[in-house]
Amino acid sequence: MTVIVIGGGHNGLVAAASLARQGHGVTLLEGRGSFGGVAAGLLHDTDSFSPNIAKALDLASHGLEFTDPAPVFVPSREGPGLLLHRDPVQAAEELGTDAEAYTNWCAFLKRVLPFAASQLDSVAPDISTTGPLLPLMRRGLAFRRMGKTDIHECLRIGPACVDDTLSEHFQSPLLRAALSARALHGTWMGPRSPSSTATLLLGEAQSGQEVVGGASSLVTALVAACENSGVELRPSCRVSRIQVSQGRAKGVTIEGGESLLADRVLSCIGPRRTLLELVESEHLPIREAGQMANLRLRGTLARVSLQLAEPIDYACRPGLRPKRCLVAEHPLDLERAFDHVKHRRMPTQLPLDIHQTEEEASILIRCATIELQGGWSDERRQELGELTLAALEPYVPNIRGIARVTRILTPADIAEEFDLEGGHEMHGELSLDQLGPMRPSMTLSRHATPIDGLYLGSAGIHPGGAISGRPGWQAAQVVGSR
Amino acid sequence: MPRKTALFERTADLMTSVAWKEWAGYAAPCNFDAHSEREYFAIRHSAGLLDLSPLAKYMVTGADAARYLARIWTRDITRLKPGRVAYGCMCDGDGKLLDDGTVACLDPETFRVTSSEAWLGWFERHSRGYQVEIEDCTDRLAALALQGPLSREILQVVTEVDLDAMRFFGVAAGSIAGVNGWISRTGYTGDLGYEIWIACEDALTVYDALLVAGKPHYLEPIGLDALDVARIEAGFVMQGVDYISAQHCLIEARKSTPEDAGLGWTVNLERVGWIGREALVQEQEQGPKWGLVGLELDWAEIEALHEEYGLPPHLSPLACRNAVPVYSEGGATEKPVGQATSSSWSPTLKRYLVLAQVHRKYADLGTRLSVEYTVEFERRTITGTVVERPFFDPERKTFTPKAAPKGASR
Ligand SMILES: Cc1cc2nc3c(=O)[nH]c(=O)nc-3n(C[C@H](O)[C@H](O)[C@H](O)COP(=O)(O)OP(=O)(O)OC[C@H]3O[C@@H](n4cnc5c(N)ncnc54)[C@H](O)[C@@H]3O)c2cc1C
Repeated sequence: MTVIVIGGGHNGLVAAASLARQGHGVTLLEGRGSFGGVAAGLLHDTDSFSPNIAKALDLASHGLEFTDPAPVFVPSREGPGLLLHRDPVQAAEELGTDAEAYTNWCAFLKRVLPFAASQLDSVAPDISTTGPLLPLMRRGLAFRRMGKTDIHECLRIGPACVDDTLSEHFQSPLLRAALSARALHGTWMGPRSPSSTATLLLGEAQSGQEVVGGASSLVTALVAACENSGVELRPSCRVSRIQVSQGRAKGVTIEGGESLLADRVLSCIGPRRTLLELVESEHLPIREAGQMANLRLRGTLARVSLQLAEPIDYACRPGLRPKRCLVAEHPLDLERAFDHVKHRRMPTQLPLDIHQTEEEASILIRCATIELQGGWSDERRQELGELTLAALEPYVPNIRGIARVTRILTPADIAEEFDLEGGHEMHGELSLDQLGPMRPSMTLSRHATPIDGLYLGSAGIHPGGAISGRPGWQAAQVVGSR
Repeated sequence: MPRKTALFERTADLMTSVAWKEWAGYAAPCNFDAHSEREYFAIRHSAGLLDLSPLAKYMVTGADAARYLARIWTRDITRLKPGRVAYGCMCDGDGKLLDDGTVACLDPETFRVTSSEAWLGWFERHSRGYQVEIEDCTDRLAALALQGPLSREILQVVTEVDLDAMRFFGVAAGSIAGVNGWISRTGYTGDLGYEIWIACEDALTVYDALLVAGKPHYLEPIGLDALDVARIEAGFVMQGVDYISAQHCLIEARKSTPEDAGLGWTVNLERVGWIGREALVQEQEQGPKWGLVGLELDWAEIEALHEEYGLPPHLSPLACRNAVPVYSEGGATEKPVGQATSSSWSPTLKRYLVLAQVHRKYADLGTRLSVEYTVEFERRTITGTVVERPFFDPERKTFTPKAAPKGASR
């Protein structure tokens, strides 16, 4: 069987490699000049990448190694800040009075997350009325095995806001800020938004070890795996149309007019763009057209890159020079930042997500809305750079002396540069109604589409965002089994 | 509160009765006299003039207009030529009827769509990916229906458009009583007739000119009551009466497919890409469940039934829109096999006519059914036989005096 995979982000690479290893003839079409998509240039954390997939694709033979994730430092203006290790034993010393609660919290996660993780490692359940009941019952049983107390706790906190949930356990605002920041990735929420605990659990369920060398090592290994298994890799081939005839996908048309035919087409770009832009309206049932038109994907990510004369040293903890840092002293700082997103305003006080090496720092700003009133302009871009330095200055007084802003990417820039619809890194916001069997919609979450031979497999599909490889992997299994 | 159409001041003036009803948010005359009989006979013997303005009207324009309409309409609008009108219907994604109406091709990128109710939201929702503009022109465009055997002669007095050459379901632009507008050879009476489309500010001029031109031909202003009898004779279904728009149905059983409502002929399942097709293909495989039939009630039975109560048979001049159950012949004690949705005595045919939706197996010509009929508050039944529809289908409806030879396009 021949398969065309559209989009050479990490999910497209995973899918292409998997399909080729199943013995299919795979062509991977990537619009940009290089592979890796968002993962190639922007990522900080690689700890969501599925170790199972790494194993199945034998990425170790292409140089992929995992290591424990680096701790995150949360600086403070008044105290010494917090260096947060994921592991409770390592974290205990820093956490003081919160240490016991943190140990308990981690133990709770350890008990409940395997169930969530198992859901992430399988195709979304079919919950339409016509679907088979047995698989649903199996999932139900697995859920029950968590035990009454933990089930009740999950049902109670899942729909709650993450700030409330964490406040029940922890005193330290720094700790609460650090944990809740993670819950907000890919969402359009603040820590006080309902259901942000659910996205916290989702994020925790995905997190494991980190890739040595970061996202670029991962992309290198994936590209090598593709080459090795015979995938035809075609960069600079942007797909402009998916050809459909009599309800069946026949192939694609590339910008410039070239037409390519295949038995199956797997789209690893956003589901909305795939169905509403690449497929002619006549071929898509109105139910799915409506679902995709209603999909929410409002990007809130911006990035500022710094050239460093020396590594950033935080005044509250001289000499630490941490690789990873979160600037937000209180969950309310994150909430206030989200208020600006909600009202489509330029944020005033920026929480920052910083990743530094010896000479460079990459700073992600997760509260810059693509829907900014009046739109993004050169002045607004400069303003963002200035706000970033201003937000760092209280913690790193010499920042203007050691750092030079080399690049500022607004959400609009990210949308354009990475060919990302809405500038949304996950091709669809994470929210209760866009998760699990509803990601990206009730009838599309199982990778197949109403168009025979057309499948979906990007971060916009179950199980969703981050750099996990799971959507692409599962899509490849579905495509291969048909 | 119903609004006034552009012709309100004139129709109100002409009315000797006070018989208004609400039609799509506008006040519309039911009849101009105490009785609609004169208006009915005008439709069948001379001509009647109806204010059609409340009809929902849309202009759909743009490079993809035809392709877009072919998506939301059951007919293949991409094959509709300028100067032609197509009647068809609109389905939801499950192939259930939403509405029916006409699409007129004014030029390759300009179409006028009419429907029973407002659909702008639906139209816009499904326009993504098409280069089209959709304008709701219900409020700015007035419409008149001139219907009846003498309508051509009357209309020709006030227009230069060559009506002798205009074919059934043709449409042409031209001057009417000195104002610019469009004439289409369409209608809801099953008779020779025209519909006239003009800006609201010109509506009175045209209406008055037609009344003057029609005077020697016994033209009558008509209301909705007479029209209702005529449309039943013509066998036309009415949205909200003979079928219920899927949009308003609370339960699945109330929805109809085009086939269920007798509009199967507007559907071509071979053609792909229109909304509802996939569901209808599936239904086709299972075989349609319902069919719309024309029934004729047995007059002798009606007379005999009244006789039992010592009453003369009573004939209302109005069409009846109260749905009643239809049973298999003599099966009044069993479950109904369908429902009669519209019925009327036909003054022209002298027959009692019924439109009914019945189970497919009772839809064959000649099938005898029992239709509920109430006399003296007692529910009885009358035999109804499935007959040809349209009940009334005069040759003049489609006859074109100067018809271009077959094959030549006009
Ligand atoms: C600034 C930023 C920081 C992030 N940080 C993290 C992080 O720290 N940790 C984490 O886990 N996740 C992070 N994410 C999210 C994560 O990177 C994404 O969710 C994930 O990479 C999406 O992968 P993908 O393969 O599904 O899609 P993409 O990476 O978007 O890949 C899609 C590919 O398709 C190509 N394409 C688009 N249209 C066409 C077309 N018509 N024809 C051909 N090709 C086309 C694009 O060029 C792109 O290469 C971040 C995202 C961003 C934007």
